[in-house]
Amino acid sequence: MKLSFHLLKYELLFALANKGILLSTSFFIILILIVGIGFGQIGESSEKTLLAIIWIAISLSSLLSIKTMFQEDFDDGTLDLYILSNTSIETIIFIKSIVHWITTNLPIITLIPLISFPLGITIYHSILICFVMLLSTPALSFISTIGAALTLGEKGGNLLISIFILPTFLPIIIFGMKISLLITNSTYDIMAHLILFALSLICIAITPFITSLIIKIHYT
Amino acid sequence: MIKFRKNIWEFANPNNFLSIANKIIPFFLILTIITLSLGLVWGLFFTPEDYRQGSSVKIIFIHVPTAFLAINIYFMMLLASIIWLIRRHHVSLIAAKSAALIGLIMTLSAVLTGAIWGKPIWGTYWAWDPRLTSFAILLMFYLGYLSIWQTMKFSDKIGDLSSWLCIVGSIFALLSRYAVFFWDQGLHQGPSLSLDKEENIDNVFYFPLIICIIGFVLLFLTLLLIRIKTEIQKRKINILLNARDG
Amino acid sequence: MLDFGKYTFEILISYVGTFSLVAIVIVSTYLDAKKVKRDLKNLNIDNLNDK
Repeated sequence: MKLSFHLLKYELLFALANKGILLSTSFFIILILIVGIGFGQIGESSEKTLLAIIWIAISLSSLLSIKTMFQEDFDDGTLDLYILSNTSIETIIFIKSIVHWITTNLPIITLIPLISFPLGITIYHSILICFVMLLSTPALSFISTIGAALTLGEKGGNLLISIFILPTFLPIIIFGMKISLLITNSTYDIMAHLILFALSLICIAITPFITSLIIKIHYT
Repeated sequence: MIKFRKNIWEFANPNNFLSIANKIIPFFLILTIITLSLGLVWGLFFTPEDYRQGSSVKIIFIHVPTAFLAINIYFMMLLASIIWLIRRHHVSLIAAKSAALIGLIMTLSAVLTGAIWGKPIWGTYWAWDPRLTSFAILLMFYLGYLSIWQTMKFSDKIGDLSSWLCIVGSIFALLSRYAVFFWDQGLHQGPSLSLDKEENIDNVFYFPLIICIIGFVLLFLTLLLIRIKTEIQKRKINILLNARDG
Repeated sequence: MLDFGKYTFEILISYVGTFSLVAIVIVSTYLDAKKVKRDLKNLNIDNLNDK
């Protein structure tokens, strides 16, 4: 337990030192602006398109720094030590995914009210959407670790990760978009919320085990 | 003459598999040609027009078999991948690898014929209807599985990785399918074939359709056997080359 | 002979489309099998020559 806290602290400090937060938020803002300007040229700038852009941007930016998650440890041999040591590798994957979520998705989610308010979604609705995202985006970080494990040691794995992992975001994206749309229409569907959070929790519970199984393939 | 074997896993020996495959491929080829041409000719020329859809109903004789195969080939790949992970039989892994391309083509043709059929009946080639969306999802997972084999060389490690990709992919494909169906049931009619006799389509279309499905399944099996055989021989060549050069 | 009333074009295009897609797999399978067969034959002859 103590080791886990040390690892969490170390990973967080490492991510902060690498300016990961700055990069992911800049990527998010640029993506939103580019797509917004593009849609503005053809006069299609409704709140529906904005919601779609936000969900797509958040799923793309959670794939941003995923390649380096295990690759650095794999290259310099830290991962070998983790596997040889007593700590379960599932714990390490769990901590790494949490840190990935804190450094890429959390800053973006706090930005959403600021971005969506001027573009036509009321502040109350955008805060509600933020809460939905807070509870559902951890699943995105956890699922993308599977892609990082699959392409471990592969050159140019970034494109492969997107091909493998983006389709697996679909259940979360479908439910997330539909719920956000319902929120902007001021209607609520409690069943849909519950299913979305259940999906998120299932992903958090299962993916560390799958990822650890895949990582161990590289060491047999 | 094929000897009776006590254990089904004896087929997993590549040499046994090859000797049996060599014997049955010609039979399968002839059977495929007979059933497929019988079913398609019956369907095209000897079925009446539907009272609502007119003659466009004849598209069913390729739309339903290809859609049926597209889904079931993915299940077959999943099963083969699990067998590879548990029992480490190379033939199983090669079967999963060889089936993927056929599955992709079947998905594409199901989508294509569906779009052509949808235009006169629904007035649109493509709608984000749950059934159509689940085929789009299936297409994405086939592409993901094929791309892992395209980019990396054949080895046991890549076999493990691709099998895990297949398992993870099928979990999420199922979840996405139910996520799509959670919101609405869509334009598409219900399944054309089910065990419940009441819901089935009329007998006039039912028998040629069954023959067509059998024909397409036989076509898939023939192609799969030939592809597995080729893949095993490729690996043999690699081994021989390595032995000669190194 | 190939006249199915109102939807002739749709029916024909879907049959032709499907079978050209299937033909891609058939041709690629056939060419692959032929190439491997030739390689195997060449290799066996090479091995015999070595001996």
